[in-house]
Amino acid sequence: MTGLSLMRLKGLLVKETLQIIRDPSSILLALVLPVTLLFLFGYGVSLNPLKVPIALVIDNHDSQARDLLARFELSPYFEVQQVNSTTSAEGLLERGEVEGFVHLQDDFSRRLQQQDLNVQIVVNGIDANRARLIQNYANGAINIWLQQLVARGELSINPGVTVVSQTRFNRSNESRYFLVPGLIAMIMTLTGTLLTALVIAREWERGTMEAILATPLNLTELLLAKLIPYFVLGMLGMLLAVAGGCLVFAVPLRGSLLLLALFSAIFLLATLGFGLFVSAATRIQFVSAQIAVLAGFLPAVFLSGLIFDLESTPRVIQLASHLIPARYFIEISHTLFLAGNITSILWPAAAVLVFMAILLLFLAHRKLSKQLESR
Amino acid sequence: MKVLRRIIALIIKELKMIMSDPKSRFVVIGPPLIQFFLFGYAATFDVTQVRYAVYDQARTSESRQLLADFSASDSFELVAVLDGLQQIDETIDQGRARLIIHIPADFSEKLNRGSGAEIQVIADGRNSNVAAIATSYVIDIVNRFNQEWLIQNAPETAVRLNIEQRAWSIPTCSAAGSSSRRSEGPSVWSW
Repeated sequence: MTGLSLMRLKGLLVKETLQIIRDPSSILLALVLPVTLLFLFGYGVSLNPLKVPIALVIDNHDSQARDLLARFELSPYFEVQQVNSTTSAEGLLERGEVEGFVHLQDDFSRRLQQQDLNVQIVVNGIDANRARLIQNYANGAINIWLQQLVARGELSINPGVTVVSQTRFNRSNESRYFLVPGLIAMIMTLTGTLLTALVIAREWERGTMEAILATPLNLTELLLAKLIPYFVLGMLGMLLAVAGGCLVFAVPLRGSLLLLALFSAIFLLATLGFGLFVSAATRIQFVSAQIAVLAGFLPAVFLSGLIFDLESTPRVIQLASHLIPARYFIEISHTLFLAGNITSILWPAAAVLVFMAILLLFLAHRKLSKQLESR
Repeated sequence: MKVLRRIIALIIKELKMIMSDPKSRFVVIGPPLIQFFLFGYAATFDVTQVRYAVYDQARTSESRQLLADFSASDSFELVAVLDGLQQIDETIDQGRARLIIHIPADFSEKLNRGSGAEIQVIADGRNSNVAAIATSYVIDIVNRFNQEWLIQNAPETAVRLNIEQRAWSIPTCSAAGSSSRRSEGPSVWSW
């Protein structure tokens, strides 16, 4: 084995780049997919219910019941529809036309005068968390109404303890602020793993590996030539996603862009290393792609904290998540975007990523060299 | 019939081809199994064991009573007791706790006067879903505290809030639904 030769590397790089340019599918995957995903997540996925359709059943249309109805109609969280009986409200609920209903009984106002507020709230419980949030909205609307009654002197009660809540880093609790930074990790996992998982397997399948082996190229040069073009593509995809997230969806980037680029590069190297390892190990493009999705992409969605909260999962899942590079990068990304440059979170996570990147690239190198020796 | 026989023969051949190659065999059997466990255990929007910190400036029997309700809850896990305002930012920024409960010094005085005691709750919004759900847990606990406290100490000024809440779900699908905390039946609430 001779040392690295810049000329040989350049030659192979030109070949790889041409291959990418002539095969539009990889460019599509690397540049169009990020933008598509960004719009899907930005517009399509929202974890905070707004304008929830509900029905309101009022048995006795006196002034106080109508006042509470108005309160519900004012709320940005509800689209209120008045119905006459609980049976028809239940019908709407079963057909999925409303997500819940609020029932004010006949004696609502009379009992309120006796400091006895009687409200029935029924919500569709199929999505437990959504049900919970809707119930909270309804309670909130009722509480605000009660406060108004007290302020107008129509009711005198002891308020007890009230909660003044504040969500740090995301004042209006927009789920976009949480989803878009994580998305960058998903996009880079896709480009990093899926694209590179194919590149070495492709050479084997097409029988061009033998031709490459006949040249004076050495292993490191081959790996570098496979790595660099996809690294550039991945970083471009990352920049697109960051620009889209900040400009279109107004997600704040409170930390430094430079740090984000640096950590993204490290993370990208880890995913590229994993993709190359899979590619070298399987030698069949189809199996390679399957494994890349299964072991690279799915864990990056499910075991990384991208959407689902890791701390609420069973311990086994939490332990397994420590093996997933995306977990560390998503931690970095959330913190850099929303909280800022918080070194005590960023650097330990980055150190793990550096270690993983080195390990995965080393494994890819070793796997390939073993396979070549066995020829 | 002949067509059917030919198709069956082809199906058997295809199945044999997939099953005889170990890599292809894994690809058809492995992913569904792995996905089953992944989706089942990791893909959950439930929020449990929220790590929280407490900054109690009041240090009265009422504030301790309220905080005891939090430590008794399965939804929360106490990780730190703070003793300064400046620690609140640090603790949230560095992710040492995901929620902070701040009880101001005049808590008991206001509560006993009946003029509304406020507690401050600061949630880490990096995961907006966790922040929203955890805050709603806090409101639940505080409401229950109010109900008990007002009935014991000021029954004449307590408004009885019978907010009956029901979550409808198909009974057999209750695996996910069971984790939702439903408060059923009439309860006496105060805001």
